[in-house]
Amino acid sequence: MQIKSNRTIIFVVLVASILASCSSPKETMTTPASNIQTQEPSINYVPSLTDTIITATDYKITPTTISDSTETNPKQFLAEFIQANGNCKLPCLMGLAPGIGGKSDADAFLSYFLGGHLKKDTGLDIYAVNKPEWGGVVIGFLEENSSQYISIDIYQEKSSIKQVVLSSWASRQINGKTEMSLDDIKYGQLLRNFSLAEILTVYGRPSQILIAPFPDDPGHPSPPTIYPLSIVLVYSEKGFLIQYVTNREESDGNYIGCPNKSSISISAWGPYELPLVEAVRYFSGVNSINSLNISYFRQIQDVTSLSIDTFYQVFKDSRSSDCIVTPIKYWTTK
Amino acid sequence: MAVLLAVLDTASALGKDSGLDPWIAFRAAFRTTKDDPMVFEKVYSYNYDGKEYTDGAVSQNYHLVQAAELSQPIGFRTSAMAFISARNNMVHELGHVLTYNWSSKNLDNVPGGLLNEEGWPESPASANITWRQHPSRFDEGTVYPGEVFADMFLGRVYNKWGAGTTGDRRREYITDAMNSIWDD
Repeated sequence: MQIKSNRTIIFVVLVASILASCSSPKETMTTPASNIQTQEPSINYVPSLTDTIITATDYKITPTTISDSTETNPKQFLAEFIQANGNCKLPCLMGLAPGIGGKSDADAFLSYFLGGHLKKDTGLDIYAVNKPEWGGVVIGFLEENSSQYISIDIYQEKSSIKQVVLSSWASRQINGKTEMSLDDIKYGQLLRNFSLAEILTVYGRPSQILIAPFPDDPGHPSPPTIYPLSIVLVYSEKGFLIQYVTNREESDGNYIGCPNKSSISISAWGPYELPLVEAVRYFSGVNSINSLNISYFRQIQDVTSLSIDTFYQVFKDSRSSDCIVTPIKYWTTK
Repeated sequence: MAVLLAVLDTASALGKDSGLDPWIAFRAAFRTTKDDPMVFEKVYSYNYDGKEYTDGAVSQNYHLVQAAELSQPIGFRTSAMAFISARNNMVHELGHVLTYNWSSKNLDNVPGGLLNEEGWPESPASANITWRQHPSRFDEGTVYPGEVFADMFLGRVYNKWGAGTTGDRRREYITDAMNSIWDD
């Protein structure tokens, strides 16, 4: 925190002198509280994917090669490229196929952004790196009062693409201030093929669904502070997971999260056996699942009345504005 | 103890940055003297943005940091987690103090691509702000560049960044910002 006025001084530590001498949701709720299971989830529960290996037989791709493009409007070209996921299907992500693609594919992809020509377009904010073990690009689409950012990171092992990670967010500018936004229309259009309904429709039922309403930080109770709620769909047999982070609301002893307004992140690893803790280790969002907070997450059927099948049936409908409800009592730590 | 360690770690990092003795680097970066030292005050509460807080800390000016109750072990947050978060809170405040001392450099003129919640090191759920001490949720979603800078200063002191491109972009920004100080 920065500046403001003085208050009661109890004790003064003069470190520098020592140094000197030393040298609210309105949508329908799908889960009535009365129907929710009463069993307390195990504190030591850690989800695992170690028993699942995918076969690569149905994983054939013909992605768009971004470096071959001769576009005249890079902003439009990149928007269309992202919307089409590089003309491939997950776990292939933005034309990058983990387990199939190699270093040359990653280099070709990144060279498009490292050439410098895109920075002349004022409608884009590009930052790209290419290092021996990993490379990536952040693509910012700048509008007059809003911006949408897509980050794509490529992790390599032995000259092959091991994992591809996408993070994304939107913000708006109001009175010279930047605010994070979950209901940006252009953001929704950009990632429409990764919307919850689209993912469920195209890829079917996930093998696991994990959720976590993030806990309050000391000194910042909710309300008024609004905390995130994360929903993670794990497609272990297909080699990817996708996370939707929305706002955590509260009502009648429940946490509520409505995934129709959320930010999206994806980790794709393809035909490998990969523990879940490894699948999420490259997420770097404050509001994201990661390898240190993963044990806080719970299987959706353990902390709501929703089964995976019910979740699938409800949320594959693109018109759904339903929300997830989980009792606060499941998430208290004392 | 958390305050002292924060100062020691910051001085050590500034020393590595500048090639100077850590304490000389600390005094040069924060422009302290024997007669005008850095002061850390323990307070019961402080005012921030019109509200009174009894947790956390605030940087009042170019040589004054006030600390109310810092991170405590509670629930799944262990003593070690709480101590690291408390120490990081103090380093974050020193990041603000640095910008006050170098206002002409506009250190916190952070580019739009870094005004977000990505590119930060992982934290456990029970100590979620360990490496992002002032997330935008504390300000109803507004991302203040000064708070982002202070957290990148924290990353610089411990050389700790989030995975991926945004974390790398944060590292590059703060490296350039700190170099601009030592160039003077």
